[in-house]
Amino acid sequence: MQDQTAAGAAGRRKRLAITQEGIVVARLTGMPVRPVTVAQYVISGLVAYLAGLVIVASNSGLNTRLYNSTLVYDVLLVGTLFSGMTIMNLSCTTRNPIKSLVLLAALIAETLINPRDGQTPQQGDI
Amino acid sequence: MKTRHVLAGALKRNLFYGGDIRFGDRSVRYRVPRQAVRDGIVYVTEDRKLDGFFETMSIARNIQMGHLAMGSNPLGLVSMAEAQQLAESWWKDLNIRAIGADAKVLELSGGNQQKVVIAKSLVQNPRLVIFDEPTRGGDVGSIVEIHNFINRLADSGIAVVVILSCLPEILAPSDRILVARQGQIVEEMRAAGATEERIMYAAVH
Repeated sequence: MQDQTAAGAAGRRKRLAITQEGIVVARLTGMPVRPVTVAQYVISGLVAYLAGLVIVASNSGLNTRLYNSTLVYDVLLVGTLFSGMTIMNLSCTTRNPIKSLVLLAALIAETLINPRDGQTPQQGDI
Repeated sequence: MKTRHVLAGALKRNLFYGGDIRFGDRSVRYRVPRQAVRDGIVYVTEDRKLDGFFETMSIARNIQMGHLAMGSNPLGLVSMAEAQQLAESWWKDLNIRAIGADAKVLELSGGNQQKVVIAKSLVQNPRLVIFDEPTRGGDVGSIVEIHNFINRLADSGIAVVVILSCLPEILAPSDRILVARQGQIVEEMRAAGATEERIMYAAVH
């Protein structure tokens, strides 16, 4: 029985290899090319689903505090800044330093207001 | 649209204008070659580089692929030992000249590659074999060997259709010769009464 299963696995693996090798040849030889391709997609979809479950399980224990955070306002602020610069018709080379200065200032302000103590998890810690 | 491709399932028969193909005593219409292979029709391709063999695989692997595609076991289980043995026996039977059954097909000469393609098809226990230009690109020795093999095959009771366009070769493996011109069969003759001149006359006039 063990041997049979091993042979079966080998057969399926070989079928996969054969469809990769040359679909035309495999088709003419009489391999079920379409079912194998469909099965490939279905199996990889299922595996991705499992991986998603694992990630969700490992992350759900962590409070990411998305609703309470000011992230939404940050995004709005930066968005306004960007569109403002577009309206003022600034070139790309001038926009980049302005962006980086604003973000740097925000980061410095954040560290001054909420100094990290290493005990409470902050947003973005995963 | 070639009749041989339709017959082997590589192309679908046109439902309305495709005529009728009878195999045994029933009308057949294959959607994929797999169905034709299951019914015992195999097609040895004309352009072996394009759709004849799996080029990165060894001789034994190629033959095993044919065996696997035959679907002798509905669950797709194939005993490795059995497959290996089958490959070895076919390799010897067709007298494929290579270092061993594990040599890469790409490294073989044209005639020997053709033999691999033939072995890959014949391992599927066919009832009808369609050879499409089986000697194309083969050397003199392997052409004779392939002809002999086709004769042996026909003697063993398998229906064999050989499609050839090289006139001097036609007489050697044939029992019955059908001459086609522009998609129509224009002449039928027995091998005993056939000469190159008669065939050429039928093909041209």
